[in-house]
Amino acid sequence: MGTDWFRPISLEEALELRMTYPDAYLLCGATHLMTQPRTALSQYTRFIDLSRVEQLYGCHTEECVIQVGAAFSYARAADFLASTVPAVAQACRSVGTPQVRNKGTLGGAVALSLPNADLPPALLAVGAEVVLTSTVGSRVLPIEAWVCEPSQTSLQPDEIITALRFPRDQGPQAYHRLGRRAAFCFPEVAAAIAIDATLPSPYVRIAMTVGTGAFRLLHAEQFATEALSMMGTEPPEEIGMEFYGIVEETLAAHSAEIPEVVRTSAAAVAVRTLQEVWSDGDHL
Amino acid sequence: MITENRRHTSATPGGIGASVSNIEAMDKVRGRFVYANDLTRAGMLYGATLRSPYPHARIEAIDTQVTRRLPGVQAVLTHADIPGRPTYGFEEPDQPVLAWDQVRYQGEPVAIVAAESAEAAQAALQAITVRYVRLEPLTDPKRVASGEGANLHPQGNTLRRLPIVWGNPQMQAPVVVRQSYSVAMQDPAFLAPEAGLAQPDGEGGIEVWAASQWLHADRAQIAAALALPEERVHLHLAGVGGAFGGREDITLQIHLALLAQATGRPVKMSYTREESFLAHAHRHPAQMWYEHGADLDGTLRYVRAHILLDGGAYASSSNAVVVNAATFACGPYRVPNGSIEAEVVFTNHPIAGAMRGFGAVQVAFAYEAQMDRLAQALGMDPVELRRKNALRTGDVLPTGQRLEGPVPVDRLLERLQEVPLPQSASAGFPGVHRGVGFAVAFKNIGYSSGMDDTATVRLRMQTGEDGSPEVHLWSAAAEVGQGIRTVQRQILTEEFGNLRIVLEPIATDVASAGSTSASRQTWMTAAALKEACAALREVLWERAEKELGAQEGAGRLVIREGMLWRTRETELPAQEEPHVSLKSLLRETPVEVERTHHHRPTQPLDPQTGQGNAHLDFAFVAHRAVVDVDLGSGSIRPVELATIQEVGRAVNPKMVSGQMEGGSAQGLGLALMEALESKEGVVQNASFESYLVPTSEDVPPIYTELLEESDPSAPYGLKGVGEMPTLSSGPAITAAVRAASGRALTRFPIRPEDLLLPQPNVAVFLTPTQEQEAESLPMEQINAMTEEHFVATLGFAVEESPWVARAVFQRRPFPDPQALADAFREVLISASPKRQRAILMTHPELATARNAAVGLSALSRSEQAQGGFSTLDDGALSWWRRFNHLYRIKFGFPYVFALRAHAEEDRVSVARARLRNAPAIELACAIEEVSQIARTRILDRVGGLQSVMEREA
Repeated sequence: MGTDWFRPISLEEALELRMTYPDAYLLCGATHLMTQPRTALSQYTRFIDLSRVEQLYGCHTEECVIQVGAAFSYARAADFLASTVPAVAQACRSVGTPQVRNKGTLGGAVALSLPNADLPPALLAVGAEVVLTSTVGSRVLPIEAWVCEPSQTSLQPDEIITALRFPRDQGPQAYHRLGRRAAFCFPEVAAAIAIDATLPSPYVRIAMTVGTGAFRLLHAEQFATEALSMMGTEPPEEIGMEFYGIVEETLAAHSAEIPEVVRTSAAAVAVRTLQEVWSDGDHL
Repeated sequence: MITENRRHTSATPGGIGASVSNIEAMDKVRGRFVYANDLTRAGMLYGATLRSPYPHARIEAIDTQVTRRLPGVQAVLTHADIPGRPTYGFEEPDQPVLAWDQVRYQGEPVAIVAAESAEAAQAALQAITVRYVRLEPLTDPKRVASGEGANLHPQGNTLRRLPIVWGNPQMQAPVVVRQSYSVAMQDPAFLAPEAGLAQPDGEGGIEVWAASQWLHADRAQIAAALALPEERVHLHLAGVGGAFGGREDITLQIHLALLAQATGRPVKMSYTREESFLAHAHRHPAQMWYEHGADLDGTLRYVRAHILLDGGAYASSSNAVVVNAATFACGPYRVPNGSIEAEVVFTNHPIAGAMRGFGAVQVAFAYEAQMDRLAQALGMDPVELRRKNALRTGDVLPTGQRLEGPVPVDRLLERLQEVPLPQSASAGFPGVHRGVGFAVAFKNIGYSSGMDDTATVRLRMQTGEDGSPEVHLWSAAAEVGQGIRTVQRQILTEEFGNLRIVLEPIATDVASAGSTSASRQTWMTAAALKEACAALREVLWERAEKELGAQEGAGRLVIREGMLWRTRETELPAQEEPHVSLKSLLRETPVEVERTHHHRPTQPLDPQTGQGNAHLDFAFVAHRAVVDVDLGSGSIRPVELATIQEVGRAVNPKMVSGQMEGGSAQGLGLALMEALESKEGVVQNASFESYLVPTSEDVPPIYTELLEESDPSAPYGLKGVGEMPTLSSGPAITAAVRAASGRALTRFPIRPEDLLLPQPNVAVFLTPTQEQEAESLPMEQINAMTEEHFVATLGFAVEESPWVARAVFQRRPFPDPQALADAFREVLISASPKRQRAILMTHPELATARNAAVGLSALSRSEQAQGGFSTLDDGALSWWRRFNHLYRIKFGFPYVFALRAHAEEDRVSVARARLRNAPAIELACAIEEVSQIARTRILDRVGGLQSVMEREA
């Protein structure tokens, strides 16, 4: 049995192929494909390699939005977004290894939506959007509507992820992660916090993963938002104590399977992330 | 053109001491090196192995009928098809080639197949049915050692127990540190999984290409199983992708030969990564109970230790590993008295055997942790304590063996202290604390315990095709990446100048070179080569006298510039001295010599006392580690490693540094992440996704320095270097983490729990005195005490730090108990901030008493109970846990609070206020609390009847 390997050079060609062969394996940097066992790949007979599609490398900045192409590598995204969307840039810097960061792409990360990966909490906290394109046109989905359940996305069989959009000039952001080693491992804990200062009164968005799939911590968001409005009146140590407790309780309620040691380090990582956002937020 | 196991002819590299590149390096980095898995033959079959899914089971039946009829299947073999000895083993043949009545570990081979394709071979395995009756697996070495469980082998489950007793084994000491430690199972984790190829030689014999550490040991075991004389089995070294001890035991070699013999065709096998993890030998997991006793000035008085190694299912190298664990149990320190018992037992875990530094690596974690803890108890700098007790030339080891060669323990540490610390800043987050730790260790070079170890080389000098002389070397020394072939070229260059050198392929067509292990190969092969080169010159000179009428003369023989000289000069021969050209000497016939080196004999240890000169020679190594420890998340980032190693004379300094870097990284892995985990005997992480080894981003910059001091007993003064770096790297990293966190850290690898959750932290004990038992101590009696007595009686006042009492002793006499307590306070507040922090770090955290098995001293436990801290409700307990964590993140030490000195209702508000303190102020506050605790403890016990009445009033 042969294998077909398609390498389109334009978006139009890619979309045609996608429509013709909806069950083909889509790839760009091939960093995930390379880690798959041969047996898992043997079910595919067609591969569509998007790495030559120039339109997927574009980027532009609108008044409130930055849009980057889905074929942006993590390394390039980390540079490009460093000052404008620092939480995502930092998450990009934490993915895999230097080699993976040079080849792996934002589009691939979103397409896979691995529950314990680095990017999802950062994308949730900053309120990213996914641009999906088919032969009939494009649509934009907020990241929260994108992942239905772990590794299950809203991608339609004729669609390709063409870009990601990030709100710009929001306010301070931070991302911290904890892994069992420095490279080539998923985070055991990751926390992303972003202050949306474009609203009439600033709102703090908080998302984490503890190996369980990224999720937002709404109770912690409310507390941090209120604390932000009362900044300067209460000592930071007190806020830290209370925030720590809320995060721990949220995690305990989220899943009974999270061990005590992970809750403990997750709470500390969350406090540190908040402190960083706080100290950046002095100018607010 | 590329040929596997190629013959090497190349331009002259440098001689001994030159940092020439490894002659295989370019092929490896350019992807041209032929590894075992790259081997291929026309018409070859693919072999595969059926393995037991169970760690312990009885085999009722093996049915291969269906398999034999499958298309493409050429052979299906079980134990019944083995023509010769059905078992094999590195030290003793206790391991079935293919299991028959029972399986003793998960992954044990039960049947093998050869088929026309890899897929057909896999399908063939699927079609074999084995009826197992599962048996209870033995997984707890402690229970096995106490005699529980059915015997896994006829001789019982204790493989070997080795005591060493010296001096007065019942010796006592004023300060005692007692702790237990454990080390997990480390995998050699070489990158190239096992692979090989075998084919019939057409004359009834077998040729095998194996990625091995010792071709002749493989050959003997293959020949026994195939019922062939050894000379009919021919082994070639296949390209080795890392070994680290894990290729010393046979894995697929016998299976390949059996399949080739059965089918009459070439057969290739390659393991998957999972098979590789299960099949090869691992580092022994260890449990160790240690007690160190010392004088108040830090002089070691005794060590008592019990070391229990988990040998897994079969013997492998366990007999030798336990000798190393026992003989190096005290580390490179003078210990006049003591008793060691080391023991290795069988379990249903994967096989434990040889791995880089075996036996000596495990104990180094324990004895270096003990030295750190002792330094803390004595208020000494850890390096100062080590240097004070360092072994020196002429000292005697616990086995009675006298150290004759260089013993540079003190110099290694002294020099390492001079190496500048890295300037790089830490991550700068609150909660990230930097620690610096030192460790020093040693181990033996070469085979021990009376084994007659040998290495053979054959040299032939002849004229090459172009008529110029060249020298050929045959050696079966396994090149596993360490660079023995490069070393051989360097030695030949040293001996013969810029002659053309041809290294013949590594195979069994010359006698054994012994194993590439135990840091022995360079030593043994260099010695044989040195002897052979001298013999070759003698033979040539005889020929010169006979054929060419060269004059007899005196002086040494030297070959330089294509000439053989007899010279009295020490450097280069003089022009007028007798000489003759090699070309003319070799015109008719080549000259060939073969030499076998035996090292100086060693002795087995006495089975009752462990006494004897068991080891050939020793090498010493030290590491300094700098780490950043995140007390918030429990993560550890190594910042820098610096290492100095005693290497005798370095044959190739660049390659020695490479060994030092690699060994340091492997030690780092064992300290921080590597553990092959089993659950009921079933391996949980046989993959590089879940068995984590350090990546290039985890290994910090490594500063390496060679301490070169020619060893007079070694060939060319060199020493083995491969294993030593693995000894002290992990313990130094652990010491640095300990310095940054104050945690006891008693298991390796260190896990986040060890930094974040309450852990046992009591290790320091004082010799009980009569006075301690007494209800109350009169002042006069205290003032009359000796120093040792005083510390033993009052050392309890400050947790884990009896040195405070020793300093207080200098301020005698004390008019009353308050003055005594004041003296404790003065010592505490005038101590350096570093020492103050060290005191605080070993304190238990408040409110942890409810958690099971948390380390509180009996005194601290009762104080917390009295203070109502053992009856807190869940809400309060979790408040205190949160508070403790944030406090430690901010200040780096646990919250210390003198419960009895404050009103109960103030506790939370005091805690809140202290969390807001600036660090320098909080350090002073915390030390005041320690003084207060000491005061309360002293007033409880000291002063006689009168003070008791006063307090009650």
